[in-house]
Amino acid sequence: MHGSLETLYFLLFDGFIWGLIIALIALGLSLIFGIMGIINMAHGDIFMIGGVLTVVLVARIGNLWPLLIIIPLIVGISALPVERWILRPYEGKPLTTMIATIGISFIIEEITLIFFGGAAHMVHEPTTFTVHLLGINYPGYNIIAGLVSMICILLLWSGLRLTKIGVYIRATIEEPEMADAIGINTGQIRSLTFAAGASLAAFGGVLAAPIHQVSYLMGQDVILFCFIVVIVGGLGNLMGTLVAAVFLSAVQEGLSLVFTPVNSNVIILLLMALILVIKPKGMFSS
Amino acid sequence: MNKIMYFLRMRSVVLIIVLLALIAVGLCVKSSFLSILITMITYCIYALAYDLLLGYANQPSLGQSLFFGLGAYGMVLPIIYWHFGFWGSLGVALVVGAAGGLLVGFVAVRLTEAYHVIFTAVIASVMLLLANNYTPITGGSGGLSFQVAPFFSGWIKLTVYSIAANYFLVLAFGVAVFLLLTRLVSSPLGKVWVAIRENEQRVVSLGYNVYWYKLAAFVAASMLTALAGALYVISLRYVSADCFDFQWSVLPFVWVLIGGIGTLIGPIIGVVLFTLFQFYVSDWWSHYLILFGVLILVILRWAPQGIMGYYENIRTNKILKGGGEHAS
Amino acid sequence: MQFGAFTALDGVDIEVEPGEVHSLIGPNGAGKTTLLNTIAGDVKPTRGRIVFDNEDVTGLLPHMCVQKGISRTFQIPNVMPGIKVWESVWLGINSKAKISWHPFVGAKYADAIARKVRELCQIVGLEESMDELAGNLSHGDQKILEIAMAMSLDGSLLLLDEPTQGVSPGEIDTFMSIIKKVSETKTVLMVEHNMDVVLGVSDRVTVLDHGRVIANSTPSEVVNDEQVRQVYLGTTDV
Repeated sequence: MHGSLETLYFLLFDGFIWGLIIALIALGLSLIFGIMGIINMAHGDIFMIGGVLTVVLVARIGNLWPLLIIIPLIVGISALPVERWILRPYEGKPLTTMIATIGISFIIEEITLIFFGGAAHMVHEPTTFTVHLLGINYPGYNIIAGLVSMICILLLWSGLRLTKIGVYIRATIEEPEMADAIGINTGQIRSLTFAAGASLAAFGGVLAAPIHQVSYLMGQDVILFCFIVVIVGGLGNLMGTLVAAVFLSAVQEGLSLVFTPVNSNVIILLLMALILVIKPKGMFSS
Repeated sequence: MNKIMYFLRMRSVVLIIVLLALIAVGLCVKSSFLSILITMITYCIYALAYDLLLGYANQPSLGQSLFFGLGAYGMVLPIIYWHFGFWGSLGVALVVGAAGGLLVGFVAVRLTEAYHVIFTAVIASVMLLLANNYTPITGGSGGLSFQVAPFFSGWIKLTVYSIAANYFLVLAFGVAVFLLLTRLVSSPLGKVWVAIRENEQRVVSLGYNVYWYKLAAFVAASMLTALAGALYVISLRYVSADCFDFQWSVLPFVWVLIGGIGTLIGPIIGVVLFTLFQFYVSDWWSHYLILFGVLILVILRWAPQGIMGYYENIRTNKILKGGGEHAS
Repeated sequence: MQFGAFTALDGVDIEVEPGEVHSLIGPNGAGKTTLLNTIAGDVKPTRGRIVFDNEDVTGLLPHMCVQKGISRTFQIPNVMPGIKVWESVWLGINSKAKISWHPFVGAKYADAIARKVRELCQIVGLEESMDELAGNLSHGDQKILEIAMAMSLDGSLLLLDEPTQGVSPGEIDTFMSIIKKVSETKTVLMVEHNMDVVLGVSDRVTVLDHGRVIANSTPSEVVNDEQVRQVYLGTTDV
């Protein structure tokens, strides 16, 4: 009995850490939807690009840490023209953006398949220590990854609260017409948000590379879970997204003690359906 | 008015010629071409079902693979496990499809567009995971083969192992669905759907409880999608969890988009063009998904109304100019 | 009919007698449209009661209000653009009938309903454009179609939200005669800015200001009311 309780702790903690990484990705998704009305089906593939680039570049540089800055920067900058020249006309039309980004997602996945191959890769954990926590030995990298995600989320948070651009972004989410009316350059805000959202996903990809198998399809499971998270948390509701990411991830890990991963996915799905029946716009909608 | 009548008559003449041509093809053409046609007609049923949902009742589902897969397995499992005949298992497939549509629609119909799209996509994705996981029942991605016993339709004994018989069976269903939908969209129920598409709030103010009408469209589309799934696996005599693949949710949208949303001819044109593209290009290049992606972006940018939309625009303008004396 | 207190509407208490044409006037932001929205079920009141035909209809959903016999028009023409004029009216006539669920019969299936559609279009003068798409009508004709759609619902109370807003002066007379025709069979509660229309068709006028009733009497008395002149009529030439 004691043993299984320890396993539960372990799983819940693991789910919490993974939930923080998921939150990074889902926050990007939610932010992009909130500002532009884009449902970004290619978001999981941006996460995947983060992972794949990590595998490629770690082999060159031999160190993971600088990639946490380099890769999101590369991805964020490459996302700018995609938003400006491909997605801009469809913004505000959820279905059309979804179809367009599915097209982009096919292109990204196939090109990655051509250059990276179909096999799954692993990145070695850059740290080897373990932490003894609640009677279990926990890999140190996971804790660092969790802390880094948390710092990143805090930075995002204070950025949105304290900087001028952050205030503009929040204004654009909450009162789009008003934001336009008081002369906020919503075009720039949109480009910036899309780049920021993509960077967040890529950042998550780099962080996840040592924990998660890296392959050209790694985005698909993650995007599924992220969509459940943003729906439960409320599209465009950043706080809701964060809470839902950590909560659902922990619930899923906890469930995996009793159920197979697929069955726990089904239970999460039923939970989502139940929440939507009661609150059609997410758990935290008024 | 005369012009409209003339156009309608023209259209029925064209349709009858197409139908006769299809029958002639079934009688004399060799089998490899027939199997492409069988696929196309099955896809047409699927595309028409999706158009009913999106183009007429304005519900952007991105989880139709769920009902396609339910139809496929609803057809196959009774045949394998309980030795049902063709009609019996087809009945099961339709009932399962409709029941699935009712359950999903119950939640999905009241959601706004963004939530509706994501919710349906998520449900279908989880169903794919389930189908891949429960290999003993579904065969997973390896799939299941099965045999279809000869069956009676009317007084003729049919076996789907004859490709011509298979072709005529699918063609009969295709024609039936097309006629059914032609009738449906001009019926009172169809009018209410179009009105909801045009301005949902106003329909509410006209005293309609739109929820039930939208749910009806969702269930009808699920059932027809299940029919397409059932016919698809019957023609292949093989089913796998891939029937739930996300691509099956994207395809109907692409078909309808190419041909023109909200018309009944459009989806058919879309299916024919896209299936030819898919067939020849995937033969030629294994990474054809790149072209698929590019194609989606190109259509969205330069022909968002599809081929029929473009055509209808020209036509409406002509009619308006011809009969414009009433316009004030 | 009584309306209790709302938050946007403060202690508004109005009674509309069966058969009368009752106009609501007042400066912008006085709460006139809010009042109509509340009666039609588009806005839920936080407090207060709406009684219609001795029945409490407070907080009913819009389509249920229609079923009870309250139908409305919108200030900005809110038609279904891709639907023909006769179909728009047809939808209203059938909204209480089970026939709207019929999946197979032709929409023009029954002479009786086709006749009803035509009659209604004739009453409002739209029979010429019955086969036009509603979205292709002129602004004025769309406003007329709004009224026709509300009439097609066969309710006993008609809520008209600024029926003549944006209508050219030459068409005003048409609207007044339509409203008069409508009022022969139905009770009308109308928000209106054009004083000629208000004085020409109303049996009773209520003046709202900042969510309060400041006058409620016959048109001629309202025009002469000192308070009304101050808050409202003083700003316009009458």
